[in-house]
Amino acid sequence: MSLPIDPRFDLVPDQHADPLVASAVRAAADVPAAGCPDAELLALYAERALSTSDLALVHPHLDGCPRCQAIVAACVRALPEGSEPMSEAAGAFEPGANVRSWFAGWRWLVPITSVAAVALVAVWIARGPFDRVAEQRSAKGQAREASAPVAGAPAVEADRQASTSGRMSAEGQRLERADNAATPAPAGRRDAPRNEDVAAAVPPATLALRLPERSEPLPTPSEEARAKTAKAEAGRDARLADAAAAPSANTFRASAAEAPAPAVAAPAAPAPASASAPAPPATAGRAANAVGAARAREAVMATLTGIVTYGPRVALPAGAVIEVRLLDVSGADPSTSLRAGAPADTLARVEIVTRGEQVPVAFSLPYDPDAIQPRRRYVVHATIAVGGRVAWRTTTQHPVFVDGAAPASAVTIVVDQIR
Amino acid sequence: MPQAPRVSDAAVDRLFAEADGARWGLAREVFAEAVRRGLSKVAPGTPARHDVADTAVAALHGRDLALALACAEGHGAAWDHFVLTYRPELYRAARAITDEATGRELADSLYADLFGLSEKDGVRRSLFRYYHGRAKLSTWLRSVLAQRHVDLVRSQRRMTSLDDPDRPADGVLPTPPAEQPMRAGTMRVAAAAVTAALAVLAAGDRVRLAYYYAHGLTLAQTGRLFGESEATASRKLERARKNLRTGIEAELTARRLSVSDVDDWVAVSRQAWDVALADALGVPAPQDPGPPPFRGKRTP
Repeated sequence: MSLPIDPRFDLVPDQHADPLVASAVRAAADVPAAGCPDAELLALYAERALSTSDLALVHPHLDGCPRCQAIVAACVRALPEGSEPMSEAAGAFEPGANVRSWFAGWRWLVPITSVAAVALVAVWIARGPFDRVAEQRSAKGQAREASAPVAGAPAVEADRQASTSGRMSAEGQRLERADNAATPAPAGRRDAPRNEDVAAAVPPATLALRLPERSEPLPTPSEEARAKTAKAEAGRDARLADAAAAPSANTFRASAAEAPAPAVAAPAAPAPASASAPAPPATAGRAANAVGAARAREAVMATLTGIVTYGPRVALPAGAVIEVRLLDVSGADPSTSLRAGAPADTLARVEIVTRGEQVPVAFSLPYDPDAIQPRRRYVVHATIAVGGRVAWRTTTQHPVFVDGAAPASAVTIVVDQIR
Repeated sequence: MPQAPRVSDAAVDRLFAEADGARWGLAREVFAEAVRRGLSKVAPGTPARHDVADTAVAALHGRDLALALACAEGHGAAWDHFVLTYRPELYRAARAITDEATGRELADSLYADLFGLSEKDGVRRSLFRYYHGRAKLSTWLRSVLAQRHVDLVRSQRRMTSLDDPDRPADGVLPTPPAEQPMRAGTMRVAAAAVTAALAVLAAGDRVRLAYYYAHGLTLAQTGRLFGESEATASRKLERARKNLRTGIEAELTARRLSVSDVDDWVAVSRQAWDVALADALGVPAPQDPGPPPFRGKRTP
């Protein structure tokens, strides 16, 4: 019997990650199957029909047993649509379950409280509270102006926030402050995390969290979702700006695309552009600029990420300029490598000024996804200039967007030394 | 060893009558023995009192148990009834677990074992003997199906060589350069940070993350598993993710590696980080003694 490997369990080969996988597989294989609950108990767990005593046994086991987790997950996927949990006994492992069941009998309080709240607000508005509030604010503002210096208020607020987040690193606190300053609080409840939400809310480390393919359609982007997208991009721009300001970070410098069409020119302006200017000291100001830039381009950009590297053990001097370009080479001879004078259109371009970092150097290349056409050929091209002279460049083609499909993972560009 | 609950004959008789076991020509003694065997699987600590045992017997799915016992004995009419009633649901569940062709194959192989194609000491051994009536028969079948699928995938994964040249290439990603010591080091630090951060998460958060990220359940399915609405599941998942973020940042700081230092690396090695996270989610930390053994009674 030959069955294909479930893609959820399949892994792309990686010389550094595969040893991790191998050890994981071996460790997982060591979990003795005989120590797992039987199929009946797992089925009852998946349907939330376990008794509390059985639940107390099964749940701790599930925490550490990937096999049983996978079985339960498969059981849940196999449940017929619309079937309801069998019993209310399950859920006792969740703190507050008993409280919830007690509260369930008081659900009638919810509409009554809502009506009362609406009535209170109506009365408050009818009495004209805004004028009074405005007067109070005016009085408070005058008092504050008289007692406190104007400058430095954002810094005080930032320091206050920093002092409250003890466990976070300085970088994390800075990013947090940037996000807080850049984005107003979301207006509504968040029903489901979207992919962009994950990218915005999760730090680089947790960006690795795999977002599985969903069979269910995602909710239609709403005003709130668009606001969150803007927040995500603002956060990214602020991080790039911070990276530019930090002494150890790369300096990204993106230029406008050399594409002929305005639709293509739009993409290159965005993300890194805000980082090219000298970053002002106030993070909030940078973030506000980033928000403006993000809103201006209406979140139409996509980003091609990857690394530029070379094989020889040669140190890259500080101040080297790495240039990465996305080229349309549909008119070039596919049998030859890129060379000067080859007919190619530059769709996007980014420059990275190194400050002592060594290869591989990461890059993010913003591009307009609408400019990508399935029938055309695209490659990424990189050069490394040292002292104004191109010392390294790509000598082989690195095709991307084959058949119009964006690369599933990061692109690795290998450059060769020019002698 | 938990003491087996004492079941009254009256309770068994009541269940046998409700189950209509005589319809399949099932002997009352065979049914009673199966009921006692099923009750011995209950969690340890159950008082061996008549009233408790009788309540447990009343909660069993008698009709399903009688049908399973009759099928295990090779009763033709029972088997026909089982095929007619459960085959569509079994195929649907198999398709939901995996793809169409694999699901069909999985369901057919389960049928063979349910029918009992294998023999031991000249006696046909049906998979039905592991059904004890605690869950509905359809529920148990789905679980067995899921168990087989997971075991199959895991066994195939163990057999797949990491150096297999026939593995599909990942799009345009060429083979990484051989000399990337910095990346390898960063990867190790990253994997250790993710693992350590996960280890200190609350167990509920860890399971929640595992279901969503490692096993691909949707928010609705995750919420269903925890008895929550989709919105609540989303909120709690977000909280778990926030806790994980804080933990990872703390770990990176403790390892003298700032978040910005690994930012670029994460951007280009998301796949590898994914592996690190799946590794950490799916496998206990090295210092972890492993999942607590399930202390209840179990069947193979």
